[in-house]
This record gives sequence, structure tokens and C-alpha cells, in this order.
Amino acid sequence: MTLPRWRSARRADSALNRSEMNDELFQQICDVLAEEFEIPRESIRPDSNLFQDLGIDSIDAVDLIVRLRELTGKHVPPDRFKAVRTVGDVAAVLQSL
Amino acid sequence: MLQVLGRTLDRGWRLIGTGLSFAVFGIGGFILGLVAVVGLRLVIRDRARRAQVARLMVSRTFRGFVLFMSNVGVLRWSVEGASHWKRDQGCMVVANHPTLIDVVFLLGLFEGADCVVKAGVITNPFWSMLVRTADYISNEDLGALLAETANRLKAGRTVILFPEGTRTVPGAPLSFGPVAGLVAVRTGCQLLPVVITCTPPTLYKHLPWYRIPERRVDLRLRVCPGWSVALAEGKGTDQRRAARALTRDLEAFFGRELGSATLSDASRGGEPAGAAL
Repeated sequence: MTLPRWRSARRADSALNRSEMNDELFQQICDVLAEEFEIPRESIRPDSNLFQDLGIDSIDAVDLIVRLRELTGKHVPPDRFKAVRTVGDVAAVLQSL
Repeated sequence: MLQVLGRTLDRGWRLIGTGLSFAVFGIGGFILGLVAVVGLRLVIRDRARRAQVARLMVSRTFRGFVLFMSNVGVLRWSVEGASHWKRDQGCMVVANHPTLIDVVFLLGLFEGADCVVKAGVITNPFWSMLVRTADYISNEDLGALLAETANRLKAGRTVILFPEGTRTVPGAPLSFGPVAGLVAVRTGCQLLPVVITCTPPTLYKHLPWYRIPERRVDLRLRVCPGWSVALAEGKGTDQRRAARALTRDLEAFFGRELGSATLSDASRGGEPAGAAL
């Protein structure tokens, strides 16, 4: 029973490091989500699931990708976006581009 | 006994015919690409004009290819309602995608139309020359895809798009991606639904070409009366709401027309976004 817990703790830890690294990107994503999609800022966290927690659907996702492109100049290829689940994932993908 | 022999012969011939069709299509595309790139570039300097001629060339040769396939005997085909197409009025052709060859029929039918193609086709060595010269729209860059499709519709051109983004998986519920709905409500274009049925199913996703069906394929295209989509005013949120409703309506329409009761909601949360364009 200890093994899964250790694993999930490590995962949370690395997610935290990532989000620190991508703090500025995270803020930009928050701005887009709050302004364009009218999602309350306090509900947006790095580990919020875009689809389940924030109610983003495939139609929103298209506009989200386009807006992020305008803001950051980075284009997330649809293939990469498919693997995205959380706000932190978006920041990580943008960071890696 | 004779019947069995007849069936085996028929099957054997259609297998050869199918192989032949693939060969002709691949080599034909390559030659067409060479002609388009080398020939057209020499004769027509203007890039837009060249693309237009290349698109016409594609339509004509694809028609020829359809005739080739039906003469060889691999398929029978029929088109209904072609008169519903209003040329030069900015019309988005949306179709379901049961087989690999749908696009051949659609490009043959809608002469000179634009088409949204997968990035893989644009980089495919056999097709890249032709697809680039004809200036078809790539689905790789979402922003460019939305903007380009909208621009061409506004210019009065016809754009063919498969809202499922990829071939229909037989038996799976119909699921349309976000692009068709978004572009339609932002341009207020005509939507022309084309319902395609293929019996028995063939060349669907993950099926190798040589697994040919028991009997000759019957491919039917039904062009339905166009939908006039209202231009969505207001903020992004309002436009997306309209796009969502339109996508649902389209899915329901195709579901009804195809007689499948299982519908999915394109806007269902949790669905991997961008899975289908």
C-alpha cells in the first residue's frame, strides 16, 4: 500500500516544480480562462482538470489554443493537446515548445 | 459448384481491381502532382490562379478515377441531390466519412472545391506536390485552419470538411469535432450536408485494402438541402454556444439519416479535445 502513495506523492511533487517553473505561463493561461471563458479565478489551480473541473469542451479548446497562440506566439499542435488534461499540462506543453 | 466458382472469380477479380485502383490512384496522384508543380508553374505565374486550376484538375481526374473504379467493377455508385449545391455562394460541405474513397467522390462532385486535409497527406511524398499546389487547407495549425476556412467561405468558395476528422469507426457513435460548427457560426455560411453510405462497409479505418468485401461495394452520396447558418454575434462565449448547438444538430441530423440511434455530444466534457477536427 505504501508504493502507490509514494508514487502519487512524487507525481504531485514534480507537478509542483513544473508549475513553479511555468509560473508566468500559468498566469497567462489563468487570464485566458478567466477572461475568455468566464471561469472564476479561484477555481483554477495547476492541477485543475480542464475538462472535468473547469468544464472546457472541444469547442472551447479550439479557442483556447488560438488565444494562447496569440498571447505566447506558441502553437500547440492538436496532437500534443490531446494528451493535455490539467492547466499545468498546458503550461508544460507551452514551456516545451 | 458453378456458383462457388463464379463467386471466387468475382472476388478474385475485384481484389485485382482494388489493387489496380490503389496503384492507379497513387501513381496518378504523383503524376498529377508533377504536372501541377512543373507544368502549371511554368504556364501560370499567379499562385492563386494556379491553385484554382490545380483544384479543377483534381476534380476532373477524380471523376475519371471514379469511372475507372466502376468500370473495373469494384464498386457501384450514385449521387442524389447534386443540384442543392450553390456554386460561388460560400458553402461548407460536411460529410460523414465511412471509407477512404469518400473524398475522391466529394472532390469529383464539387468541382474546384477547397478541402481540409490531414497534415499527413500534405507531407506524404506522393501527394504533397499536388496538395500544396492546389492550396488545400491543413488541419495542423488550428488558428490558420479556422482563419483560412472562414476566408475562403467569405470569398464564396466551397470547402469540404469531414467533421469527424477521421474515418468513421463502424459501429461507434458519430462524433463531430469543433471546427465545422465554429467556422459556420462565425461566417454565417451555407452548410451542405452530404450523407454517404457504403454497403458493405469497406476501406474503413484500420482495414487493409486487400480485405475486400463479399460483394461489390455500393457507395451512395446524398446531397441534402443546404442549411443557412445564422452569423453568431456577440462575445466568444455566445459564438461557442451557437457552435455547440449547431454541432449537436448536425450530429443528430447525420445520426437520423444514417439510421443510427447512438449519438454522442461533441461538447461533452472530458472528451479529449482536438481529437476530431
